[in-house]
Amino acid sequence: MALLFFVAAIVFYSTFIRKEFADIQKLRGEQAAKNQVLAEQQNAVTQIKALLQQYGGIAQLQETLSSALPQGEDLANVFSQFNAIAANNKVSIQSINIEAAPIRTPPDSLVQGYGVLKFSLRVAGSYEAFKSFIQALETNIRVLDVKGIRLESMVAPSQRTILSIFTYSLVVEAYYQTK
Amino acid sequence: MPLGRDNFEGLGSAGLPKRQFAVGWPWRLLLLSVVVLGLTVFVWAGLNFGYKPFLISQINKLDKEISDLGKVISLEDQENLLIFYSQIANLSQILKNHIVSSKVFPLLEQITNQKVYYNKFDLSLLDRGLSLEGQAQSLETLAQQLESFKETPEIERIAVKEAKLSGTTAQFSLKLFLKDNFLKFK
Repeated sequence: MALLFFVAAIVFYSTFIRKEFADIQKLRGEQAAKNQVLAEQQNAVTQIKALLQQYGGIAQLQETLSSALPQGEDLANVFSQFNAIAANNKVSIQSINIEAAPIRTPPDSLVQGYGVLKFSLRVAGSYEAFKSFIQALETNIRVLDVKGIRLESMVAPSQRTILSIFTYSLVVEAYYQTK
Repeated sequence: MPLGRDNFEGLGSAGLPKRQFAVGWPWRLLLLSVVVLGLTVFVWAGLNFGYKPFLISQINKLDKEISDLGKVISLEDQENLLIFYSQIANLSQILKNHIVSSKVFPLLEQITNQKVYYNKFDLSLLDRGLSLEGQAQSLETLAQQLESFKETPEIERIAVKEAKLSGTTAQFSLKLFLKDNFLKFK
């Protein structure tokens, strides 16, 4: 009878208690992990609250940022900037072609990617005017990168003056923040 | 003296405790086994009905706290902050790679011989290559021009595609490869 009880105790231990121990180990692991997540989230929330408080006071910075990297394509804004820069530098825009490049995704998973608009421009103007036009594009508030410049002169050097008009082809990239 | 019944009586009385000893051990063993079995059942019951539900309730409480934390900051605020952070990070990356292509004009003006003129200019940022086609007054002038390109620190290398004499003038087609950081915004 005693042997039977011993065997029953061993069977009970190996069947039920060991399973319970395994379950409890798993639950304790889960609890520890969730405790850590909670602590991290509490910390993050505290930091975000502090940031939001600061953010309220930096609306102007947000505005400046949006001028340099607008939220959304804002094509009208690029066109008007091209026109204004061209007019200021005595260069005439003959044509503009637009091509949307794929969204660029940064390595930081928290950061949302940004879009690229590729403009092919054909402009006409004197060499000096064109140089000023390029410099103005490069220092424009909305960030623009001049990725390609092509000039084919059809004027012989003997006929060329400082005011000679040339035609230029440009490749300009503009960026925008995706939402 | 022959052994009689009386001779075994002492042994019989002496054997009685032996019989008590044999009966007591199994009883204690039985008791011990019952205690061990009872203890295992008790431990199991404690784990199954006590500690395990406690842990589950603690985990549920943590889940609720985590879920509640997500609601502390409104969805709109979260989105605004994410976009703001993304704008800063992306703008920083874009400015790091910002190109100042206009730097190529003063460089070219500075290093070009007065007896050389270009009739084709093609700058491509893909390979940082500047393709030039033009004319030099003579082959000697062209050689001087190539030497000038070679000595310019901003130019990494030169690839001459074509050079031919047309009358006294030398026509050329070449590609200058600019240094990596030359056109970068600093």
